[in-house]
Amino acid sequence: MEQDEKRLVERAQAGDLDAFGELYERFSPAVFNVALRMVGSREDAEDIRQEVFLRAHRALKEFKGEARFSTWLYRIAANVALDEIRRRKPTVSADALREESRWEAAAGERGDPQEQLDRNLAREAVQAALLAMPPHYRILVVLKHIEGLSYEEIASVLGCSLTSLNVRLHRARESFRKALAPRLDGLEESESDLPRGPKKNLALY
Amino acid sequence: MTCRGVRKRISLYIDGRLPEDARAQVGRHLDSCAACRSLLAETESALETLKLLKREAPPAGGWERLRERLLEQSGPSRVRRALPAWWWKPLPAAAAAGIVVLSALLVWRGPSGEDLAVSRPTVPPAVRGELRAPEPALQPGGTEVAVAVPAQPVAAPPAVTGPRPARTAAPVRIRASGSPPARPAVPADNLPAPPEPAPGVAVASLEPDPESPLALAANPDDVLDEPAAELALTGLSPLVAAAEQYTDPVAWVYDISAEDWL
Repeated sequence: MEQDEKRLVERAQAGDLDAFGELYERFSPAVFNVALRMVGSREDAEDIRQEVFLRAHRALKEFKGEARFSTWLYRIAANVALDEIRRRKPTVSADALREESRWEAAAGERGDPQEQLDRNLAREAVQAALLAMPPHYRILVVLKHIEGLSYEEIASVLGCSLTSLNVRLHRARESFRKALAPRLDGLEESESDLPRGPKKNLALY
Repeated sequence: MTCRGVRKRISLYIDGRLPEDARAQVGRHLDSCAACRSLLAETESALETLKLLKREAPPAGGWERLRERLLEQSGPSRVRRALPAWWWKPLPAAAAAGIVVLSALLVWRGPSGEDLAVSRPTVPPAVRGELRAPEPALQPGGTEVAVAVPAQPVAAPPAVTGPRPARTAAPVRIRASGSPPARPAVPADNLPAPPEPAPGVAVASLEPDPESPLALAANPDDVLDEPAAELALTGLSPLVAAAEQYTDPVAWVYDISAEDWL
């Protein structure tokens, strides 16, 4: 797998656009999801995905293979997303969040409609909590808990030491917990009006 | 371990990244501290909610759009990318204008010399007499201008590299009536001999090509009877050269055969 990735990268570095296309197809979904969780809008996330790969193509010759190609891409994605957040304040509107929620609902989940509604509301609350976090903590939570990167990979992406990462990740989790709590409380209060009652623990999803 | 110490390590505790002894100390504290246990449960459930955010499929057609942009970016040449836009944008228009001007000049200057050598009888006899090369001696009331016309160039370039032999030259005199005297013409015999080619240099032929208009021009007796030689000397097309001999700007047109127009 890694050898295949290395060959693709070498071909792309030699100017083979098809090889770069294969790298794009392989890694761009992850880049898109990082961007989506960072900015909260599919449209903006798509813009970031394209920008990340434009920059990656431009800087392809500088990739020396010291880290994995995916790690290098995550680094570019984190930088582009953080730049975008700094450039566009406020990051996301309530309308965008509702649109996001509707899109997810339309993606088609099977099961109890009530559970679907609960899940969608919970997702909305979680995404809102993420967006309420400082961006430099948000990227940590996204890389660790959504992308599932290891400590070592995150340290490589962000260019920091493991010791520094321990502290930063601890603070990022604290930040997320504090951002989520009031949203879950609000969700439980609003669910109290629903026929099936509010007593469901959203954290169980 | 105190509550503060446990809260600092709670993230590493969740991820199992604490050393064994530190993990044991935190575990013992959690057994005895309800507040820290509550915090641990709350943190774990908050992180658990992140699993609700499933991976989503990006919009389709992303690669096609990106590929198009990449090809657009790689399109302009390096020079074009290095120069500001105001510099290279007018270049295509200027190049097109240059081509048009060059084409017009080529058309104006007429066809090639070989074609012209065929169309000899274009210059009227009176004009021809005026342009005929005189005898080597100076004519009374006239002026001789010595013009060194290169003879036929070497038929083929040397096969090996080395100094090229100098081209032979023959004097041609044109009398310009009424002009002040110029320096006397130098007979061909007085010209210095062409240098010998370097040893080992293969010279295909130094003899002039008799078919060439320049070769005709090299012979003083023939030169001014030949419109092509006039072309070689004046740089004008036979039509223009002939027209210049007429005072009536239209009359010369009737004196030109249809072949000359071709």
